[in-house]
Amino acid sequence: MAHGRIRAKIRRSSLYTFGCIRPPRESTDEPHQFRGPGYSRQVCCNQPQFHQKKPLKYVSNYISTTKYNVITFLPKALFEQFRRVANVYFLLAAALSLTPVSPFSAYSMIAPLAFVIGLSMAKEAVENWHRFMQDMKVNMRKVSVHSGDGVFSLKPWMNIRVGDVLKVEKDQFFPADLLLLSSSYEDGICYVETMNLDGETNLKVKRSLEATLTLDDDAAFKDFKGTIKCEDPNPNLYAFVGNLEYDRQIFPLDPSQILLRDSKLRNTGHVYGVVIFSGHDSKVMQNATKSPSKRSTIEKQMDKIIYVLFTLLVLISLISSIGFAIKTGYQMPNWWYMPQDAKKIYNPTRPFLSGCIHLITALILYGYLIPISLYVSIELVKVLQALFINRDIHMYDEETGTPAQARTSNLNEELGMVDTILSDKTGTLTCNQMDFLKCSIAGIPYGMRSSEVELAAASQMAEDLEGHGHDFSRTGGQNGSEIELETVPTPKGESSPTRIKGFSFEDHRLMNGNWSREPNADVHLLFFRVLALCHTAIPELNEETGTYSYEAESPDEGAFLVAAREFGFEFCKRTQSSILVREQHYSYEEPIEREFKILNLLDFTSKRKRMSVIVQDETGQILLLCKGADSIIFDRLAKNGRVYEEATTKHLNDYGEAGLRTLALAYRKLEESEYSAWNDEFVKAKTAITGDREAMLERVSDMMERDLILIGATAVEDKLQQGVPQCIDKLAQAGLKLWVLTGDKMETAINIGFSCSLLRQGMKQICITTTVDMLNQDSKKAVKENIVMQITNASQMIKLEKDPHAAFALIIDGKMLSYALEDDLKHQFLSLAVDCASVICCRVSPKQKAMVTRLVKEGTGKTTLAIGDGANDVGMIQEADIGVGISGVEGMQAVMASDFSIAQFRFLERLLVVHGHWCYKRIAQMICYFFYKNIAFGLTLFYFEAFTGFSGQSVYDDWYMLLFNVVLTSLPVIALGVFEQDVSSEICLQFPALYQQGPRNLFFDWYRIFGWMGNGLYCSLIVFFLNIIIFYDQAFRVGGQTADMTVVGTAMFTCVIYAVNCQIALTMSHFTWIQHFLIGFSIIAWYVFLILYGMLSPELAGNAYKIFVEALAPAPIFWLSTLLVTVACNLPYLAHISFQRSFNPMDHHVIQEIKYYKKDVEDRHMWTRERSKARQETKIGFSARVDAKIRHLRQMLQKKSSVLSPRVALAATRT
Amino acid sequence: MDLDGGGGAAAGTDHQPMPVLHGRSNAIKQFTQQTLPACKPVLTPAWVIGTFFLMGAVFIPVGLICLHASQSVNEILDRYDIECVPDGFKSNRVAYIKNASIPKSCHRYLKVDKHMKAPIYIYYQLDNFYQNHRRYVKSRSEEQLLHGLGYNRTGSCEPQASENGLPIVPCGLVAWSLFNDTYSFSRGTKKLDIERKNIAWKSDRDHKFGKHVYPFNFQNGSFIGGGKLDTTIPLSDQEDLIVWMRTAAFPSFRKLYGRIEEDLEEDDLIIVHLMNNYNTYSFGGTKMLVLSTSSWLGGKNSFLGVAYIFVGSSSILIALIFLLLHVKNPRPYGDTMYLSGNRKDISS
Repeated sequence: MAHGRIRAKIRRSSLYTFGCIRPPRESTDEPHQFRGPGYSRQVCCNQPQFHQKKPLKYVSNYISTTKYNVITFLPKALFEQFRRVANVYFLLAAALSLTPVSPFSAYSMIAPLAFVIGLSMAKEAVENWHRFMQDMKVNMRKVSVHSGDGVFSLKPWMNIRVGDVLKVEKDQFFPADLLLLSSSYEDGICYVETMNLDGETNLKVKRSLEATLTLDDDAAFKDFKGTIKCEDPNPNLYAFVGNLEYDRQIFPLDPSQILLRDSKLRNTGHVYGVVIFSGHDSKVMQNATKSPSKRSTIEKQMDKIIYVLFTLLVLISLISSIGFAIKTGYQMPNWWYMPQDAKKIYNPTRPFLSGCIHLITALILYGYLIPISLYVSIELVKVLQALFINRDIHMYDEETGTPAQARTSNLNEELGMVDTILSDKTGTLTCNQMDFLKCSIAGIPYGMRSSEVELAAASQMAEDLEGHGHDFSRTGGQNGSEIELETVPTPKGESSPTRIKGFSFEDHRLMNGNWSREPNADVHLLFFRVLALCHTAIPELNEETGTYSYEAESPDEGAFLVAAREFGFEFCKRTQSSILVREQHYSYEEPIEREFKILNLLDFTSKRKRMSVIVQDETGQILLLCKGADSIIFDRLAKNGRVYEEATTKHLNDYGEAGLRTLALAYRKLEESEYSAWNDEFVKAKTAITGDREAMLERVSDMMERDLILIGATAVEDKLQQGVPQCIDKLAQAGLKLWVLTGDKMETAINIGFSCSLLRQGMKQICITTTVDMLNQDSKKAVKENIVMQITNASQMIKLEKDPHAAFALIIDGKMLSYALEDDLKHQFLSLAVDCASVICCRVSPKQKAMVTRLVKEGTGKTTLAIGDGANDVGMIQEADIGVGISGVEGMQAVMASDFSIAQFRFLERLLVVHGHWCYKRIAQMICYFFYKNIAFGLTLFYFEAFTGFSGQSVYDDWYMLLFNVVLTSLPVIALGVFEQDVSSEICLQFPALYQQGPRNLFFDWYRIFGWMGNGLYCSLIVFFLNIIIFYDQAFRVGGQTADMTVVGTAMFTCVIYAVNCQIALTMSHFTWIQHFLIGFSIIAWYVFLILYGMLSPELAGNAYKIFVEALAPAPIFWLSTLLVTVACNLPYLAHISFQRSFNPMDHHVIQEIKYYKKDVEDRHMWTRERSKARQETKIGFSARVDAKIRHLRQMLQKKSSVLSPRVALAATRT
Repeated sequence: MDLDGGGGAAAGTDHQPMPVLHGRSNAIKQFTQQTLPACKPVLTPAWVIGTFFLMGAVFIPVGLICLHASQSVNEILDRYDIECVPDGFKSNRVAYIKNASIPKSCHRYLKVDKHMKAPIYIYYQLDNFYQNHRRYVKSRSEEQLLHGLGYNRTGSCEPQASENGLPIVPCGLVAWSLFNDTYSFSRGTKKLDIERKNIAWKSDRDHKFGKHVYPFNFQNGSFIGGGKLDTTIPLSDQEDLIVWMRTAAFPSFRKLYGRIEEDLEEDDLIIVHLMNNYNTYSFGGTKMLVLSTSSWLGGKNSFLGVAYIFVGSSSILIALIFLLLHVKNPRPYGDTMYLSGNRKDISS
């Protein structure tokens, strides 16, 4: 902590001009007057014992995100289970099976239900346990708490109470919402990173009250007492109202003294704070919404199918009951072998009553139409699918050791149907690490290394040119000299092992002092000085290596300082009023230390978009050094300062295209007198007590930052996460739309848009931003009108656009978004957004992220996926159909709220294109097959009814029916759901267009569902009627015996087993030994069961005693009928799929064939060509950028060749 | 101060140890990475046409063989329930059958069309008789059939469950409604022997019906149903009952009555002496006597053969259609022209 002590001597607040302005209110120093409810909280600082009993007893700091606890588990989980309508039906059926109404024995109804419900509940319990363990990890984290007499000791977070005084060390998270009392800086300032709350990466400055500054060591808290009266817990992150009563004085509190839970202490040794809101009262927890239970589209559709089946069930039950009533009423009295019975069930004198009772019987009997094991099978399959996702080694991040994780398994198939991805920026697309990559000084560009975007585009271009192959080289050959294809930058291997973080610059002209040999060396010198001086960072000496590292407010600044150091301008010390820079010129042997006096620092605000320092060097020369957004700087250039403007502008455009963040640098020489005149005014403004001090300061600063002379520009790469451009490109090719929602400012967002290839040069940007003065509250209507106008204009522009390749990008600011999201405007906004190729929303709050997500989800009706890493993304992650969290970074809220977590954005490609595609097809096929098999089986029961006087007798033994769903047909369908692959994972990635089968829902539309149901109906008819005609009345074997009900039932059941198991074999296209085994097992298991069942004692087996060994197996007709029925059942399906494949093939069919014939090996050229073609037409991603470039080149080519000769022109157009 | 980061939850909670994959666990790796070796059959035209032709080639001959087997079976059917009612009772058959004082004997003459080779099976066929009705099917007790009075929970047998406090053996409606017409045959003047043993399943005789269970109180009550049983013979030897107790699947059914162990020659005239005891008149059923030989496939039923031939020929038809379409309009398999992306180009 030595550094902290040393630094503590600096009063950092005096460095800032704008950042630490106290609100005007404070000058009046009046405490808040609280009236009414909502301000009842009272905190007794350092006296947590007062908070142990009512009325001051507040919630503890224990947090819990679990769904159930030990007591509520059983009722709640059961309730969850019986929210599924099918389960309620089965429960009723099971209850009724205890009465004589039931056609089956009770065990055959209750056992499967108990099994199914038990399995689902066990799964819930396990998931809940995992959540509990994660909560406990947070709750058990330690922090030092004042335990009396000035002694601090470590306590777990969960034991912290309101009123406790905490000491939080550097880089720790705050365990609760705290009031900042003092920090290791003398003036009570501390820096806070709120990335987890709002996603902003810039550090925020918090500042304690003057009155509590004295509490700056442990011992001071021995007698500290105070009372805070403040607002009640609320979710508003940016507001706080309260009073501190301390030392018999009352001080007003505002948000700048509040440290929020889950934000992190940075650049500050330690702070002391008192807990105001703990646990679920804290602002971040108040912001947390209950994670909604999500259901996939397929599951929702499946519910509808279940309703269809229920209707069918009720219908056939009604038919059956009417038939029964008629039979009972008219015929039963004649059946002397069934004499009059007093029981109501078969009472011929009251056929209507009997019919009503029979309805219940029928509803139970035909329950086989509704697959009881469907839910449990799907759940099992999804757990196994999730296991594969978790274990996928291609989604395993080796650096952090984090695998992908499917946190809720019930959305797997939804991954294959995503239409729109809403992504956070920082931490998701970017690593929030800046690398100094290029610069332009005095109109000369420096920096050889290419940005990732350039590299990615170049490699894509190389591949495409290969694909477009000869025609390009043919025509291009003639004009080769004139049209130069963009030189393909080759990625420089990471040869230099000592890569410096934040510095990827490579150009020998500037390195090692060589810059002084360049023309305009004086400009270079100024450039480096701006880098080294114009900032608010603090150097920190690493004593082992002797180098400095910098703690800067933003990573950009850090990158500049590292760059300056590498260029030989090492910033090594900051004092209250000066900066020490160690300069190394090529001419000197030893570095010389120069001290610059900092006269003023005009810091960066998002409004000013620039930052300046006024320094005086050792010669007494006063300089204003300024860096800022290019548009701002160019507006402020002096007439003689525009020498390099043209060249620099061109470079800035290039950098922007390469996806880099740019800043322009400028300076101004000041005369002593000029400065002091200005400074007087500045000091006057600074010390003004009036409320418009801020405006005055701004105006005065503005006066100084004029007549600048341009030096050059910097280009910093906001390091994208590994593989992000490629991933976005692939996702775009798969037909997915990507929206970026970021809390960052618009310029940053646009830069990232460029670097991710969401934006490119030539794309028409529609910026919806503030043009009316927003500060004026009355102008709300005007603002709205303005938005309407902007939106209408933009829509009009899109409509009128003729060029099919034209792409539009919509960029909208958070403030405007808040209006655009209002009910009357949102649909207009959405339809505009949908027409645009890419959408970027900047400066959006977490709430707005969620609202945008909801708008897209509900407005388009398509599946949305939200991906983010911070707590600010939680709302969006929960709102979207699928939430994906980036794990492996600090802060787990996003992951906790997510349905899937991956370590890197690039894994999203594999998660969607491979696993999503597979899971979608698997689940869709599985559900279709499930309905097929249950219809095929269930309807045979109905047909048989008609032959038994609708009495409710089943032709099958109870045991057969019990086993049908549980053993005999369940395993192959699970294998289908877990292992089926239409094409292998490599091909999924090579042909991203295949993914579109999911969003278009080709495998689970009603056409297909009803097709399968029809197939089931056909099978049931074939199985039943073929069997009854074959076994009708004559002898069925050589011994002359005729078939009784058990023989017919068993033969029919055998046919069903064969038919459905052969059907699934035809459905599958991927057979590993597991599938072979399970299908074979299912059929063999049936025979084994028959033999074993026949060996039971006749009391148990009944008529099935020795049925197989004695009656069926020796009868050839049994085997022949099985073969016949099986073939007859599957013949139409086989013919259908053969015809479909031959004459109307789908993409995966063709690809399967290519693989089957090994054409890809024989004809590599075709394979690469097709791969490059098999993608959705994209307007974003670097492929689109390459396409645009190629189109552009072609146009140029045509122009040229038409001038050359008409013949060549013809050839060119033909291409 | 070493904290593993994380705001709401500790980072690193989800760090599952990734299994270290060595060569020995290659199979596990293939499994978890879903790269197990698999066969991926593709329905190429050759396969499709071949399969359908093959199916046709197998099914048609099988069908012909079945048809032949069915044709080799000779069957004589004789419906006698109407003719055996004396003329005076033609309009009120129910009164006739219920009146025990009217003699029920009846003679039928059957002409043998074709040579019938022994064994010739004798069946009785009932129609419109719901042996498969749920109430009827459930009205029995497997335990009692095996254990007799040793088992007395005969609730399922209501209303034929007990008599004077003792369970009826055998109880239930199925046994109670036992078929009781009897047949005897003579060719010319010579009586034909009917073998009435071994007509039930062996397992039924040996294991399902008790060897020491005697029907001592069967059909004793006020409410007489069908046939009576010899109280001195154990259930295991009452083969009529055993056959009857195997409830039929359909309202129209045949049950084995006995066997004639001699060949019947063409144009033989068989005289049937029968006792028309069983009441099918009240529910409008029919009774039929059937004499039939059997083949390896069972009785006379040409449906199986016809169905085989039908399926076989449709297979061949499909194969031909497929072949024709394929020749006329071939799609080279694996041709990338048919990828959806490329097809759009064609259409537009």
